[in-house]
Amino acid sequence: MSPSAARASLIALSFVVLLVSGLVTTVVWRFLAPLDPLPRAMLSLVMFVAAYYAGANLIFWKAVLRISPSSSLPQTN
Amino acid sequence: MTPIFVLLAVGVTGVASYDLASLFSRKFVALGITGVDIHKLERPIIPEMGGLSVLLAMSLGSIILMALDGDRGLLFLAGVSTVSLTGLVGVADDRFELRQRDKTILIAAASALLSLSLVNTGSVWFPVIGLVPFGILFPLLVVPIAITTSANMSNMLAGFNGLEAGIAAISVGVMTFLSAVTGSTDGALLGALLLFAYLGFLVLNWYPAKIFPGDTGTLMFGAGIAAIGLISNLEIAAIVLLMPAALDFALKLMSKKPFGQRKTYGNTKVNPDGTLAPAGYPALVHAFMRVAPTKERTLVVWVLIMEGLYAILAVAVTLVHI
Repeated sequence: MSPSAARASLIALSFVVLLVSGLVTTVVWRFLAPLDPLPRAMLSLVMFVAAYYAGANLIFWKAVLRISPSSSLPQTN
Repeated sequence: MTPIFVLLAVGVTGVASYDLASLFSRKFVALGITGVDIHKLERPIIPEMGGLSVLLAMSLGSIILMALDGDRGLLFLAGVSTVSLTGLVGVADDRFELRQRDKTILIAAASALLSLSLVNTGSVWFPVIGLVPFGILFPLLVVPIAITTSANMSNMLAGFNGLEAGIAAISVGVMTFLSAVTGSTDGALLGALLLFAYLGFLVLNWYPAKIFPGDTGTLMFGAGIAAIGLISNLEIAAIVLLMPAALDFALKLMSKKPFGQRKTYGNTKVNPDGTLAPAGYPALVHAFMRVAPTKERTLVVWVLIMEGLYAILAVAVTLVHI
């Protein structure tokens, strides 16, 4: 992969993380339909943050490790 | 609002920011307010805390605007005070290295006037979810949390020549445009002052930098984006613009000490060919360094491209909504 393609794929991946987080939020929002608007929205937003964090970890950074030509990869702890 | 006064205020702001940054770049070396540019092989000593020029220039521009344009009221003043006080927290952080907890509390306090002036605003629109009625939680929780989160996130995606000021110019520019389009004069004017202040500073901060923004410059634009978003009801645009910083923040949370990785893992190193070797913890800039050999200038350009694409998304989401 050329350097520019590798960098562009990182940007694309960041949008994938955002999209997946948005989809998770949509599902949660529909699932919580019986709740009042404020708690329903708050829980959905918390789920968005959690999904985004998980996506950054499991989608974005895993892909970085896969694309990276370097053998000395960082520890994610 | 008289256009000639606005042009005068933003023009003075831009020129003052450049001139002050130029002055500080000479004086701060003598005063010992400096840092090492660790991303250059020769490791030059560069003046720090250049964001002070942005703070002073924006304050000057807002004084001109308030003196000449009688239409500016509490909301504009609240926005300016929030950004300025956050800048002062940055000055204190640059000089005395505040603890993360103290910094957060002080920035939340800096948003007090904005909270008061937005006490009658109770709802925020989100895609999919729609209008969320926060009620009294809006001034009590949403405003201070938005300002502190945004300021701290923008403070973390930093450390390379032109990166912070470049992101500030793109994101504040978009917020200014959207505020103008949606008819929020106070938000647009606050944004215009901040935009020109950062553009004036960027001339000297672009690679190879003659001055660093310091925490003064990085905290202030995060607070500025959030303040404009809250004033103009453009919260979702502000959130989208902060997504690269949010991604960087999320990646850094994966490591042992999210706010102290550099002490634990060390700094990014420079290879003999000028490419950057990332430190051993996850971060957005390290991702770019890992996937391809990257020099500092290339790295900054690609992060700014990323910010530009999120800016397009922010404009699209807002224009579809209105």
